Amino acid sequence: MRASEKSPNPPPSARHAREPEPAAGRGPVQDLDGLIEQVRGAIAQIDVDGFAAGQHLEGSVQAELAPGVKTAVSLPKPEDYSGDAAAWRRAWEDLLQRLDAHRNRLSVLPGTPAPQALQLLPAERELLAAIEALRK
Amino acid sequence: MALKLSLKPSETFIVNGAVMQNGDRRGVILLQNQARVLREKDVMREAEATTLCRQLYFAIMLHYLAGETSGVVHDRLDRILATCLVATHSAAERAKLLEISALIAEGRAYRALVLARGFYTDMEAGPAAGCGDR
Repeated sequence: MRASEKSPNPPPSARHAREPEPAAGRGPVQDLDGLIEQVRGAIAQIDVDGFAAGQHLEGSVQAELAPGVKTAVSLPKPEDYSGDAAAWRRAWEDLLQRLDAHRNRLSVLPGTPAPQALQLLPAERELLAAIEALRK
Repeated sequence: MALKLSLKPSETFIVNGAVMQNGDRRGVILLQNQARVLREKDVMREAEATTLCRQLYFAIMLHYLAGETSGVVHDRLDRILATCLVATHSAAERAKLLEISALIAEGRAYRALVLARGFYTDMEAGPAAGCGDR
């Protein structure tokens, strides 16, 4: 059943009938495929639980995004859709489409952390410090 | 052919490793021969090199400013390029990285820098351009 077919405000008993399953994909997301899998899992969960999935999705998906990915995407927040679970689901689908469209472009994620700080030479440090001093 | 630099008041730029600053008015400088010039807007701070793609730009920038074609600066850049090549699974990105690498090997570091900037800005504009952090 799609979220759009569900009542936007299920009774409290239904809301707490069971804990939603965690979103698909486990562990930190390190690549775009992992993120897409997470978003697909989120959509599947909305289909099952409607808005009852909201709190859980925010915790499970966002917490597992790699730091750089988190800065690059904005997860649809249930509170922004004022009870319209169908619109909320569409926002997730839109995110999925955008991620899919950029699958190739993002295989080196913008957020891939630099492995370690570069070891700068004294002359380089001096140069960068001179620039920095002029910026202040 | 001379390179004409139009400078904003107080704009900083680097010429062959010397950090220079324009005065308090707009100005124009003509460079009559080849030199390693970098404008302030193209200078990345060390603290901004937070991702692999940005680190690549930063390393190329330092390589360009050093003006050396071998040695530790060059080796460091080679290592970062190799890391980027391992990290990417996209043929298009790999081609871009190889182009950057070829430009550096040819001594065209400024052109490589321009490509590297496009590389990381494209990525950062990626899936959710216009979406902010949460």
